[in-house]
Amino acid sequence: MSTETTAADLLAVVHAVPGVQGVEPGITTTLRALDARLRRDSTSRDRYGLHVDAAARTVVIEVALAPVAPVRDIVEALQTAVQDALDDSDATPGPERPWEVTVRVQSISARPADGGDRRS
Amino acid sequence: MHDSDDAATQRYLELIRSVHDEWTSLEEQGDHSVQLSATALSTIKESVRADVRHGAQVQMPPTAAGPYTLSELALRTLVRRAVDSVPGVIALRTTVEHEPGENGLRTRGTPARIRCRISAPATSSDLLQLADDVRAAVTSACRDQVGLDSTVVDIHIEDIHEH
Amino acid sequence: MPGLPDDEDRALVLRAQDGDVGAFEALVDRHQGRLFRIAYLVLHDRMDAEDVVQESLVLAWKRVHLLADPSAFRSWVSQITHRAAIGVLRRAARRGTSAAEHEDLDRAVPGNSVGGVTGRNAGHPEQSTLANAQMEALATILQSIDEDQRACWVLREIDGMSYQEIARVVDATESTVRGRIARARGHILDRMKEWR
Repeated sequence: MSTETTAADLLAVVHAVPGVQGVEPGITTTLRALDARLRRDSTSRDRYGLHVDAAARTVVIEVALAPVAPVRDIVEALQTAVQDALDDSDATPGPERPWEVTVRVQSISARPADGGDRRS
Repeated sequence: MHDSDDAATQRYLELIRSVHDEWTSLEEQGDHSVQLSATALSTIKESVRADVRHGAQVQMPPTAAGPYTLSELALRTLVRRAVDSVPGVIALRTTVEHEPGENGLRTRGTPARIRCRISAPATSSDLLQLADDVRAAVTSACRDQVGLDSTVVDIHIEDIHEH
Repeated sequence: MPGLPDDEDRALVLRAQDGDVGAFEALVDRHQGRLFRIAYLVLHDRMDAEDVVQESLVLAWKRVHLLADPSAFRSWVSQITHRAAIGVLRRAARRGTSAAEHEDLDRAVPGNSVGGVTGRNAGHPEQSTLANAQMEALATILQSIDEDQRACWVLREIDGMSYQEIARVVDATESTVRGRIARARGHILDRMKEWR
């Protein structure tokens, strides 16, 4: 009985991070998601913009950001949130190699230059 | 015969001039009979946004929680914002040279050198200072936004603009 | 807005080439009106003209990185639009919908463009009257002029292009372009006399 986090759950976690405007698929995750659909693989956690490799414990997320905070702060918050979500739902509890979350920032939305960064 | 030709030519020239004036002012007033409908205009802009070319991924120094990259487009957006933040300056095009990459063909190494082409305001009295200000803004952005400390920044003033 | 110098576009084009979508949107806002009027006067159909301008501007975005001289954006995008409009005319001609047929219909219903080139507005006269009345009248006159003359005349008299630029846009010699415009002017003068 798997309690692994679904791709939909992860997407919700991604969207909840301040500064993440949304998932913005690039070539790699698009190809993987298409491949999963073609293989009719419903267990795959590939979605456009999101790729989870359970065996290797890696995740790739492709996102669009809004400049509400420095880019690296938003990215770090996103990585932590996804790691936490995956750790919480690990089928086998106990010390494990941590999930490696790679973020690809595809775009940063424009905003009139106002100088300051708004740190939360 | 000549008189009616001249009169006709006059009417022709007046027609041309009056249509120019009328259509220009109608367009400025937002009258859609002389330009695209609002729907057509927004369709164009949606298509443009959907067709953004991200370019390759560029390696960044990892965060405490893991590795990340920026697309070439996102990197240029950051640089452009930094340049634009200097009063009166307009960013034009930016090119980036990279350190050797580690992660395969599609990922470029961290930015080694950033070259910013800019347009300076005509009111600027000290272009060298202006270039320094722009360089400082870009260098700060590299450090504060993505933790890049050692990127060389070149500023090239290629144009002057009036307003 | 028409009349602004090309070098105002230059900065926007460079930024668009850099990936700045907002800069390209500003270019769209600045050029869409005049491109629409060019297409409308050539095609005499509002929907066709809008389609042509939409296609042309989206194509311009996709190819903007290939534009070597950013100052040439204005005539470059006019060229894309002109080619698209001529393409519509040629496809309509192959389907057998000729300009002449619609000219007769236009004469029967003065001030209305009933079908335009592709006949798409047939049955929707309310769409077709949503073009400025003066544009409508001019477009009607232009329908009776040979397409090549019409296109050159529009680029010269309406869009203010130089003969040299027009020659590049329509891919003909400058003297051919001058000849077409002179003949187009003659026809328009004749038609204007008929109005008296």
